[in-house]
Amino acid sequence: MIKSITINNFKSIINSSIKFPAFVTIAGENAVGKTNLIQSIKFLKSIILGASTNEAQKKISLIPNELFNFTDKNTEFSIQIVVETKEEIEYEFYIKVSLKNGSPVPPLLLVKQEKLIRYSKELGNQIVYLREGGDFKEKGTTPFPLAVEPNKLALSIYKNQDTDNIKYFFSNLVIPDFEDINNLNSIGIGKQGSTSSDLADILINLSHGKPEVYQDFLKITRKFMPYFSSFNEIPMSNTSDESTKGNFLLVLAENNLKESLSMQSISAGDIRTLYLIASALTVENNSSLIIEEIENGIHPKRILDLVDQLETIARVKDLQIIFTTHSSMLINKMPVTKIIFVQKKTDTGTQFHLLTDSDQITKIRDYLENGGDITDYLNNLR
Amino acid sequence: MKIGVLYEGKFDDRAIKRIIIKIILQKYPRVDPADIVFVTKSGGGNIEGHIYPATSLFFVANNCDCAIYISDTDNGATSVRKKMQRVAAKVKKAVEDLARGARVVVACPKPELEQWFFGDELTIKRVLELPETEPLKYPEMAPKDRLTKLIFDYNSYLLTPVEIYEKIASHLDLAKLDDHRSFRKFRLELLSNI
Repeated sequence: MIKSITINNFKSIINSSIKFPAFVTIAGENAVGKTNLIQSIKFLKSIILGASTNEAQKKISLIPNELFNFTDKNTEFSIQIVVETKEEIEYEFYIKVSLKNGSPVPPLLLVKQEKLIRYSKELGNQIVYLREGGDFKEKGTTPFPLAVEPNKLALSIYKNQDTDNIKYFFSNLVIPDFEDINNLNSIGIGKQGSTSSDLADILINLSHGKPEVYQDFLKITRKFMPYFSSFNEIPMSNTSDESTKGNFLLVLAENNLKESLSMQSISAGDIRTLYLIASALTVENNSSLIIEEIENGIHPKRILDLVDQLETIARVKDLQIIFTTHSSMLINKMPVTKIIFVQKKTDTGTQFHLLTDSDQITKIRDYLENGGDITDYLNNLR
Repeated sequence: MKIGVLYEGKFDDRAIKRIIIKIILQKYPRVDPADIVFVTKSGGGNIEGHIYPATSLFFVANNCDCAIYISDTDNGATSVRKKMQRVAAKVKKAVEDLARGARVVVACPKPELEQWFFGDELTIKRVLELPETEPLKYPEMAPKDRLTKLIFDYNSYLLTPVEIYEKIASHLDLAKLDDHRSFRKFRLELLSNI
């Protein structure tokens, strides 16, 4: 799970740190920086899994300059993240990225510094490696030049158990992109063995690869969509076209309907519900799932039950689920120990506050005990 | 029949409705449970601050036939008796101000709602698929924490804690729960107010 993150000069975040509980919502008004937090994690995931800084940037912003905080003429940002892997080992990964002066358009983003530290109760904190520009240093060695491109991580070529652990963690970190998920092509036809995050692919892989979990998925789905009966898979393999091997057209059977429906006929709220349940059931145990605006397209009554369901799955599978929301109903139902509040001020930029770490927590508890609700309280915080 | 319910925690809502339906059916066995309409409000852990708005919701906005205010008595240093008296006084004042003459029932499980559930351990064992011949674990724990721990031990994601509470409540043998004075008092008061 992600234990904490510290971000400097990334988009609206000038300097802020936040600790993450295992199940937590991130609440705050529009344009205060909730998405920027998620984008910083997406950026990290991309480069840790081998993308160049500019490839990672393209996924989250239009031009490289937009990654840097605009309130100052700075040309560097840094992200430090602490994660606990499934082996219950804690790692700190730090990266500092700078904009190359006078570089062509688009400008190059260079890795200026990179560090991986392993936290150990027995042995203390140990530097796995440290990279300063082109120089690389392992524990107990003198620095030596490392043949890595300046816009890629040393992590992409350096291999040992610790680097494998951190890469494995990020490869299992899931941040759904709902624009892609709602794409009609991604929900109707699934391919067995595909590693994509398309809903149809997830469902086909689940039904063929993990039939017991698939049955659980169907049972849970029927709680939220009582009219839903099952999915039918229609093989689409064409013997003359190898690329269609393992392809299935997914159709939906509903109670009281004689004919099956195409997946395209399902409402956006149902698609999202199916996707969230399937994601939580399929991600690896001990990994993290980050969901942006979880309530989008979902009725308030359903989202409360769905969040309960996701929390239950997370508990049983030791998952971490982090989600942003604008739903006051949902925020009011969350315990204050599981709310991160986000604010943006002109001088300090985006700031994240875990409410239980806040100096206001006693006031908040008193206010709630006297009949207030948490959204009213947060809306009036200045 | 329209019943207002103010309850404490996030797990309580559906479970309390099930218990109330079972009690109503004792008096009116031919009532279709689907015809019992609930108007509910959660106190988010403590109902005291919510009594006034809940009374307005139940009687001013929804013309409930009866309202039930359920408050645990497990709040730290405050004595059980004092807490019960305080809740009852607040309900009385709210009803006088907003809905004079309205039928209300104040229930104060000692120390928590979950203690009522433990009056029928067999049902808990069956719902959580535990051996019926072995005693339930964690007797030293407070009832809410104990039930939560047992649910977490159950370790299934097919039912959420809210659904497990509801399932337990719907199978409870009310005769066994009558051993708890606070439950028996609540049941009899509800029966006389509906």
